[in-house]
Amino acid sequence: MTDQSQQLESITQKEYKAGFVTDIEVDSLPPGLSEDVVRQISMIKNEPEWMLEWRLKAYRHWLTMDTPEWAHVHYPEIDYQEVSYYSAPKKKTDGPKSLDEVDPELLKTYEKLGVPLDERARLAGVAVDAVFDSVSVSNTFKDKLAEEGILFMPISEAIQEHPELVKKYIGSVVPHKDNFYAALNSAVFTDGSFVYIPKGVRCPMELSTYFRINAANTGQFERTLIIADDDAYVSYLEGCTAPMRDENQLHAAVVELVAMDRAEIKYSTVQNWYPGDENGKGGIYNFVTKRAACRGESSKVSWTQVETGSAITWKYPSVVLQGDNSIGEFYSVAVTNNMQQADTGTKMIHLGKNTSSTIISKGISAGRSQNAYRGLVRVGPNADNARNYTECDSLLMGDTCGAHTFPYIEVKNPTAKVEHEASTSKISEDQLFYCKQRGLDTEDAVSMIVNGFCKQVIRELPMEFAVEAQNLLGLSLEGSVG
Amino acid sequence: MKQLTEITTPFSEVAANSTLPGAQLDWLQSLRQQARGQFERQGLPAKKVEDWKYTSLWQLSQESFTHDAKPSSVTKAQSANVALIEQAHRLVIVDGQFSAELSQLDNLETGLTLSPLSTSLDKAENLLNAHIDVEKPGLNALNTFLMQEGAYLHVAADSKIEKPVEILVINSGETDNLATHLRHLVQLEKNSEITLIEHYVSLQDNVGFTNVVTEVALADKAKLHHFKLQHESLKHYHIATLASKQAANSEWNTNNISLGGKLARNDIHSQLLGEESHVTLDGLYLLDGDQHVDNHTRIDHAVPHTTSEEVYKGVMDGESHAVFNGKVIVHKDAQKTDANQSNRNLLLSRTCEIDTKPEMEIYADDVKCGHGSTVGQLDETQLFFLRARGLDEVSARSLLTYAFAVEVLQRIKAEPVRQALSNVIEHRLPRGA
Amino acid sequence: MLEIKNLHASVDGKEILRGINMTVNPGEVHAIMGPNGAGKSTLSNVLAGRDGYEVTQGEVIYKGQNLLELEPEERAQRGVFLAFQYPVEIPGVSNIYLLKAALNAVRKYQGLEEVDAIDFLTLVRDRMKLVKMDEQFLHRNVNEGFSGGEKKRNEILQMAVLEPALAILDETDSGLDIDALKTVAEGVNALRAEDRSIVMITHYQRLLDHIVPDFVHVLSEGKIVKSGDKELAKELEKSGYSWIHDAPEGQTA
Repeated sequence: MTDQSQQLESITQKEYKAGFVTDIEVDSLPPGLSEDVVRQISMIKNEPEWMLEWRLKAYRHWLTMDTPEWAHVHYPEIDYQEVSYYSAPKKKTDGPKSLDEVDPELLKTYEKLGVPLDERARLAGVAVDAVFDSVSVSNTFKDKLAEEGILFMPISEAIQEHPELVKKYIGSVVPHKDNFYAALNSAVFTDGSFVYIPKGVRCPMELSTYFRINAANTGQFERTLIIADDDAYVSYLEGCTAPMRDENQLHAAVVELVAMDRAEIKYSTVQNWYPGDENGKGGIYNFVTKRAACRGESSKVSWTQVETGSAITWKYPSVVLQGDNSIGEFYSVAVTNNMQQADTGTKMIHLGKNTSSTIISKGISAGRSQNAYRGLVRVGPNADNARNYTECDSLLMGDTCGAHTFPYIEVKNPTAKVEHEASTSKISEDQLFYCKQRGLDTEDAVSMIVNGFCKQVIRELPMEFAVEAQNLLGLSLEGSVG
Repeated sequence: MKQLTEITTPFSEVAANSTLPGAQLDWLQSLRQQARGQFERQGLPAKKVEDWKYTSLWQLSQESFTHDAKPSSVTKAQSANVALIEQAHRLVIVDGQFSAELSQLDNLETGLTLSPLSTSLDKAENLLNAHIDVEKPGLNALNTFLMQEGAYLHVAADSKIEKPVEILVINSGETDNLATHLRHLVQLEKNSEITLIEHYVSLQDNVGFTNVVTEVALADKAKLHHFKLQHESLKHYHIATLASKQAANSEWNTNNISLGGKLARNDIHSQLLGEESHVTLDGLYLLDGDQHVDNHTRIDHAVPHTTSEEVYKGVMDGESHAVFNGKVIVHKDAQKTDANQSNRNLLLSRTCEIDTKPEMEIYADDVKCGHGSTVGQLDETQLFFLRARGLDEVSARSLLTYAFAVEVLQRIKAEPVRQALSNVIEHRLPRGA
Repeated sequence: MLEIKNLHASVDGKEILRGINMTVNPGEVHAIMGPNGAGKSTLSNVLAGRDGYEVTQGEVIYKGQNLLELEPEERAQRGVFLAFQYPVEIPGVSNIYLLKAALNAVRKYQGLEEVDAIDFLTLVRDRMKLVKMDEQFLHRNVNEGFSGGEKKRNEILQMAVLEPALAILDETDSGLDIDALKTVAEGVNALRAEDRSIVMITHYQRLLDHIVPDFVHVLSEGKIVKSGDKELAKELEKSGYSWIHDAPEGQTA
């Protein structure tokens, strides 16, 4: 076992490659949170009055709320007055009109991170919105997408250019009162991506946002809103990194997805925020609210996440299945090592008839980490013929970590079929020996078995992301042969 | 939630009347007073307490209960009629009072001690509250404060008791709104074995409240086959804690069957403290009308090489509401734990509800743990098969529902007990479910 | 090739092998037979280096090197192949991926380049014919959902691809019907070579009708009690294993 642990350590303790800091001039607000700060953020963004009012409502409500304590995570109390709520690279002009106007330091940053903002993006066929600390710094392919009527832009821009759409949908899936972090986000969010796919349009390329926290003592509060109108389709990718810093940094994002009749949204995340060092110093607190509304009939939302980073992950991408025949899916791999703590899972709320949901969760714990799956499957009284299938497997590496499973199942309809299966074990000695007898060393054997363990989830990712995810898991790419 | 003072007031009076046994025992008096303080501090658990998320004690708090039982007129024939097993050592409690007349305590087998708690308290000091989580929100403190009767069961080392023991708790219904607080203490010495049935019945359909705590101590190689059958009135409140501590190589097989009660809550806690110890926690709940049954089970694998198996099944009809929460905790260094749990539910009506939450918390790596939970319907293929063989649909459904339910009895080795329980279940099932 | 000298081994403190002596030269096929519990599988597991088997005495020399001090993968890389009695299922890992990873591990030890995808596929397709396996098996997860016969054929396919110097076939015939047995045997026969030794461990003589051994050893209570040529197997078939307890200490091959 010690062998195995050491191997895993060498696998997951590879240097955090995204841990560098970009030296760039920034505009930022001093630490602290008050109504004034909320007003200032709104003013910097030149927002309309309704937006400010909405933020203030959220802020006032947030003041009345308590930090949630039910998750299986432990951390010192956060002083919200110590956080800076706005940081942005200094602008040379009103905002980059093209990549040529983007600060070359920034371009280099994304280059280092392997995020294609330039012509390589064109080759890769991925439209990218890059969010650096609090603001969106580059948005590629905007014009090409516009030809199809697709809106893909920073949400700050959408508030200016398409206020009717933002006003209609923002907070409609995650209300400003939803939970402590969602309320905080609603008050102080600074940027994020906005996507609108019009009726009948299949988005011709993957849309991608790359989130980067750079500045110290800065919280990142992005807000993403994706709307797929009737018969529309979009696949959206999200990647996250942050420099290595000794202090914990707060990331409290909100993502709202709306799928109308027969629309489909596929949302994939590879989360690699800085996890802190092996003693638990530093790292991102990742407190995220992600929720989708399958509002239309036969709509479909699929969440796929590979979570390897963050000191603490608190995240439950959910689907509210309102439309008849709608489908929700959640595929997740969560890896925790060293002192990381993850409490993640999903909620599938069945309201419409003939709705179905699938949950596949794979947890891998190593080091002294704690890894919990927490999920809710709820079938309402009118959700006739609802179906849910949940599979929740945990792999333990070493005897100092923990793996936990907290599934809630609430059913109020006799036609529902809900199945939940969970298992926890370590890597089988038989499998290891079999691989070793075929000549593989322990590290490769562990990689291979872990890779196999996660395959159901990894294969849901778009190809480019699958590669990145596997690299993150320290795995060589399977399926490159034959 | 009504203020706790409104529910404790009558309880406090009872204590003041000092009708409770053991008044001469200082240690017990101080235990009762501590518990009283704790209950008054904690009150009834509110729904915001995670363990009580799906079960509200609001209605209970609205009832007014009495502790003054009228002398009951339950006859031997009545008692024999409701007993589960005829051939048993039987201790009968009616309306919270031990009944020597109705009990069968003659000719106890060698090695077996079975006596009312009220006369056995001098032997109880090391057992009382030694197995339960005293601080946990719930009614344990109230029970410690007010326990009035119960059974004291002791099996000497190396004794294998042949006949089952039945603790028969009868609510005669002759006193409306009667509250009883019972404590059973069960202690098996090394290498002993016994079958124990806890059986709760009502003779009339009126409001009552049973608050019972059963504590079980199993020494090395002891084996306890344990059944709990709760078949009280549909207006009855039943709140129970059942906790055991097991030493090495011991075995606890328990089967918890809830048929009655308006509101029933069972907190079952198995603590595997010795290597090679094993627990089987099975249960069944069959609900109808506005019944609410909540089973919370918790298994602690505290040392290496322990095993647990758990199967809970439920059939819900009417406007009933069932809650299942099964927690399995594998402590650090409890390697080679093998734990398996399943909860299967059948919903029969549009207005019933099930909330189920199987949980695992695992802090050791060399383990095999799994759980499964399902909510579903009868298998259409099986239904069709039975109908193709000539059964009408109503009978076919009844048969399959029965088959679904009795499956939890299949691990019971004691044939008379299994037969008796099967009969009870068959009578309780809705025709044409 | 392989020299086993006075090998004693225990499992959970219980001695299973009590002094095995045996020499296998290049190109030879040896059969080790014996009743249940004789220690046959223990011997194969000790040779492959499985955890939980403690060698208390004796030595095993493979190609002039002490085999027992090597890790399982080092033995495999040096050409020791064990066909498992119960091949292991690995969910999510495709057969072809394992094959390629294993072949490259061996090649890396030999100082060779990683095999390129086209050459590899050509090789695998060729070897699949030996065991009459369909190409779809390559893309299924390792042994997952395979029938007993498919698992055993898959073992021989791996052997064919890895081309070991010493192959140990542990009860490769168990659970096979006669057609599957023939297929497996044909595969093994095709892999007999001057520089390759094969040790077959089996309870029944029937495998030896199809893979004819050069030597037969009878293992009983952790020792080789009799050695001979293929005729010994036939004798066993006739008279069973009961006589061996009465037999005097056998000579070793």
